[in-house]
Parts: sequence; structure tokens; C-alpha cells
Amino acid sequence: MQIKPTDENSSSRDLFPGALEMMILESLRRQPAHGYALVQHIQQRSRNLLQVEEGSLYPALQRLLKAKLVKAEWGLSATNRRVRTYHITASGLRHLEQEISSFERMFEGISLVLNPGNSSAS
Amino acid sequence: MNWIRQQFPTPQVVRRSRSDEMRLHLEERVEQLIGEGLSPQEAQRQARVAFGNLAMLEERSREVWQWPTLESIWADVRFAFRQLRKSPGFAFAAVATLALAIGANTVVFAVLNALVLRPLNVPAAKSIYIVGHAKSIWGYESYPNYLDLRDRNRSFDALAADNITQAGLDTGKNPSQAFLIEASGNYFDVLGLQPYLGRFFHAADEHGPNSAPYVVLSYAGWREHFEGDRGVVGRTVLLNKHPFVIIGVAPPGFVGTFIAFSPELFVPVNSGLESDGLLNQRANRWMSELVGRLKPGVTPAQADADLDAIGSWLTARPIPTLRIQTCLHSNCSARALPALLAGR
Repeated sequence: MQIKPTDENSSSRDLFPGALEMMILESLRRQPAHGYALVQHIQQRSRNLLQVEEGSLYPALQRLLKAKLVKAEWGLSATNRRVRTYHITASGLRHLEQEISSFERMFEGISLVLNPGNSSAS
Repeated sequence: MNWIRQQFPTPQVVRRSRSDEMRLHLEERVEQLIGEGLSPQEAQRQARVAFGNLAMLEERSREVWQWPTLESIWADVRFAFRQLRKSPGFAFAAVATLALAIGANTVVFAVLNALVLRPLNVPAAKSIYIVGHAKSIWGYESYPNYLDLRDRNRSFDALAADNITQAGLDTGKNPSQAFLIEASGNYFDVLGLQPYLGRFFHAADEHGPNSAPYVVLSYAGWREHFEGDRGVVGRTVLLNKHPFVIIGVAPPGFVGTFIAFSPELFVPVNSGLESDGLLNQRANRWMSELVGRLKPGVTPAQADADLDAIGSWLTARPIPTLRIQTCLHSNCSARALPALLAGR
């Protein structure tokens, strides 16, 4: 269970596999970042609807490193701390585009099923 | 070969860098929460709750580099099998080559191990010699010839005879075929050994055929058949359905004088295991290997001449000329063949 909706009233729900990786890649496409900054970025961009179980970011980053979709290097942060900053690679960018387009198709398919009125209208 | 490195525990420096990264994350979260007005303790607690189980997440980060690689090895193995199935001729050639090479290596190692790595493990092994024939690597003699050579030679302190054989062993559970050495009563005394447990059999135990139904276990045989039970001495076992009394256990390093052969037991040649008829045939040349300890000051050449003289005396019976052929502890390649053929 990596990401949960933050609404206390709704039951928590797992995201589909690869969702966290996709959001990490998208965040890194905008700007290289270290782990903590990535978590904050994802939470802010989702307007806190999604909350990453923060630690689960790190196994996901290792998976991306292993697949060579991101690379990492140690450097100094703005607060002068030694941090490990992640960058997206060229194959990471290609992978992200494929994932987004496949996600959009899936999302569209689900929407069509859930809103049959819209589907017959189109 | 990268995957080999990945299967082993990650070097400390890499592991530490992953942990550092996660701890830094916690620190930053704690600072932020303190900035929002929480007490340090409460900030710590909330940061840890939000982060999740640190140890488990470290483990999962490490596993990322391990298990998928094992899966990919499995995929490689399946791919290799599919390829082999497509070309059975190649598969057969590869398997046959491997089998022959492994077999040959095993034989070479067995000989090397016996000759070089583990020479005969008895006191003053350099004076131990085996009697062979001048024109043959086969050194075996009939039992009656052995008795003549033993009694008439002047070169050996003592001369023993031994022989490899097999018998059905019943210790009361799981009867099985056992490899054993049949030896003359003086065998252990010629070699100068002391028992690990109990006693050995001696020349004085032999009173003609069927007189000494005793068993000495090799150390390995004792461990294998009796799980190292120290109370084994005095127990009776069946060998080819005849009762034999266990009188002792040989020391750990001693496995007989045959190269690349390890017996489970030793029995006296006059124990009745061998039929008298076979034992008393002078023409039965495959009966015994002769092993003796040269007297101090006697050279192998002198012993050769001595044995040749007895050989001449025996010629009437008839028997090939005898001479000392090789010793056990060096230069023994000629001895390896019969021992290997007779051994396991």
C-alpha cells in the first residue's frame, strides 16, 4: 500500500502498480529532486488528495534506478545537506510518455464504462 | 557477471548510503513539523508514522536488486533448455563431453589424492613396500604362496596379505552390501597401527581356517553404520549371514593400503568369509596383495634378490619371478590401476 487518499471518510485504496513510479518520473521530468522534495511535490500537486507513504518512495526509486529510468548523484542541498538527487534519463522520458498514454487510454476506458450516457452521446 | 555481485550482501558503503538517504528524509520532515509548531517528540513520532517501517523499507530497497535477477536466471535456464531440446545432437554431445570430463577428473583426483595429498597414513610409511611381479603391474599372490614368502624371506620384519572383497552386512537394521578388506592376522601389526577403539586382530587370533570371526570397523564404517556409537565393541553383526564379533575401530586416517579404496570393515582372512578351497589354491593368483615393512638397513635391491631366490624355489609350482616393484608412498603410478579396478 503505497499511496492513500487522504480523505478520512473514504476507505483507503491502493493505486494500480506503477502509479507511484509514473508520478515520480513526471516530477523528475520537471525538475531533478531528492527523496523528500519528491514526496512534497507529489503531495502538493495532488492537493493532498494523495499521500505517499513516504518511505515507499525509496524502493520505487531503487526500481527506477535499476531499470535505468533515473540516475542519482550525491550533492549538496539548498540547506547545505548532503543529499542524493535523482534525474530522469532519456529512456525514463520515453517510458514516461508510454505510461502516460497507456494510463490515459485506461482512464478513458473506465470513464466510458462508468458514464454510459456520455459514451452513447459521443 | 553483475548478477553474482548482486546476490551477495551489499557492501556496507552502499547500504549505508541508502539508510542515510532515508534518515535525512526523516530529519527534514521532523524539522518541518517543528517549524509548524509541534514539540520535537511529537514531530519525531509523526515523521516516523508518515514514513513507515524503516527497516522493512530498507529491506525492500535491497530486494529490488536481488530477486528479479534470480527470476531472470531462471528465464535463462529455461531458454537454455529450449535451445538444447531443439538440437538434441548438440545436447547429447555436450552432456557426453561433460560426463566423460567429470569422470576423468574424478579418477585423476582420486589417484592424486591417494598418492600425493593423502599418502599412506601409518608410522614410518617409507619402509612399507608392496610385493609386485617384475613383468606385470599385477602384484597379487595366492594365499599359499604368501605363506611361503612370509616364512622364508629375510628382508621384511613381517609380511602381511590383504584383499578387497564385498559381503552382505547386517547390523540389525538395513542390511547392505559392504566393501571390506580381508587381511592376514598380522596386518595391523605390520603397519604399526593402534586401534581407535577396542583392539585389532593379530596373528595369534588365527588358528587355521574359520578360526577368527572378528570384525574391525574402519572409522568411516563405524560412523556410517553405528553413528559413532562407542559401545559397539563386542556387538555381533552378520556378514554373508555368518555371525562376526566387532572387536575394534581403526583410527580416522587409515583406509587400508589400496589406492582410492576405502573399506567399511576389516576381517581376518581366516574368518571363514572366504571358502577354504579358494584360499588354499596355490594357482589362485588373485587372492592377496602382499605388503611388508623392510628391516632396517635392507635395501629394496637386496629384498628383490631375496624374494627372487624364494621365487626360484617356488618355480617348481610354478610361479613367475618375484621382485619388489613399488613402494606405496611415492612413485606409485603403476600401483594405481589394480587398486582402481578393484575399488569402487
